[in-house]
Amino acid sequence: MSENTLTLEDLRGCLASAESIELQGMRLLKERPHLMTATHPIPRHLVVEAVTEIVAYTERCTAAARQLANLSPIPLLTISLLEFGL
Amino acid sequence: MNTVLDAYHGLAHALTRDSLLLLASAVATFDPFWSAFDDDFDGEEPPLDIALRVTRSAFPDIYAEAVQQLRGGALYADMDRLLCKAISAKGIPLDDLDLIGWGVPMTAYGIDLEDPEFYAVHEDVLPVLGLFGLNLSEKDGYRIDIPEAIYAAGRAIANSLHEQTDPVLRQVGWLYGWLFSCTGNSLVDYTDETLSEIPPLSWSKDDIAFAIEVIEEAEGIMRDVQAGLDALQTTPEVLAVLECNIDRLNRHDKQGKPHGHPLVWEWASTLSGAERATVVDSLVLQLRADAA
Repeated sequence: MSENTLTLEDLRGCLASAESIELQGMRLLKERPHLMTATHPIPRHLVVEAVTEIVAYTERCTAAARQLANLSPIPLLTISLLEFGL
Repeated sequence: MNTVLDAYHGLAHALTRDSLLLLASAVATFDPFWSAFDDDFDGEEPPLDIALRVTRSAFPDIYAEAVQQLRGGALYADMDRLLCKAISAKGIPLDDLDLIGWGVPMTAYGIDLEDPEFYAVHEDVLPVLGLFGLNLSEKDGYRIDIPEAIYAAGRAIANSLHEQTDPVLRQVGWLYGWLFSCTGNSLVDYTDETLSEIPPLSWSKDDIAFAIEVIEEAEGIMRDVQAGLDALQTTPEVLAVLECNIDRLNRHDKQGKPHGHPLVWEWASTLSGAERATVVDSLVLQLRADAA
């Protein structure tokens, strides 16, 4: 059986290639970088939409982080990660 | 341009050019409390923390406003006012942020007919209860003894009135439902004392939704209760038809009709005065039989 080799750099590259998320709050900040001290407040419903979306996103991230923290070890039978080799 | 301002503008723009920094910046701006609360929530936390946690989960619009106010340097008293007003506007009566740790606040509208204090506040219900032969104007002592049969009769009247189509009769039905604690809505049927024995609802999304529904229904019932009381005070025909049906119920009870023999209610259509609604109510007889 041929064995694949994956370096830490490959792994990092793999994660970095994931498409970045686009949230309403990020769009608002992009349009108005000085949002935090804006003299022209953005419409309330846009802020509420942004907050609702980001709260849901941070909740998903927290849940994912909790799951990863409790993940059981997975034996890699066909891939070698040299940096983590025992 | 001022160097500091220049640097500030430069940094603000730089934050938007990198997607990771932009995401971090958006989270810090719109959800700064995203990691501020522990999973273990026991209600012992400071009231403002609980309020932010609750609004973050259930009322994002209020949370957004609170975050904005906190960023603007709002004081605790300002936050107390803002959050209580906003949460109350959602249908949950919160008067004081310090109470938020006790769970969802609820108001009990229920009454205890055997408590003389009740009649000091609600003298207006004396004629309504007088139809059952209760003379409550000569009450003394700490408790009033009301026979179980009166409760059964009051509940029978309430049940029958609820089945009517005439809105005034239905409102009078809610009045009797409130007086005899049989509306089916806990806030209308339970006194403060009874409600305090029940564990309060938590601030979970499901409990909040349930609380809003119960509170809204209770408020609607209490509006009908008041309308029913007003109708009895201003429309002699309604009082007369009630008196007639209570007499009918009493006679039926005294005659000891065999089980299964239906009691015939007669409710005049109080608004039009044209139709007479006759209802054969075997369920009521069941109630009377149970009470006997």
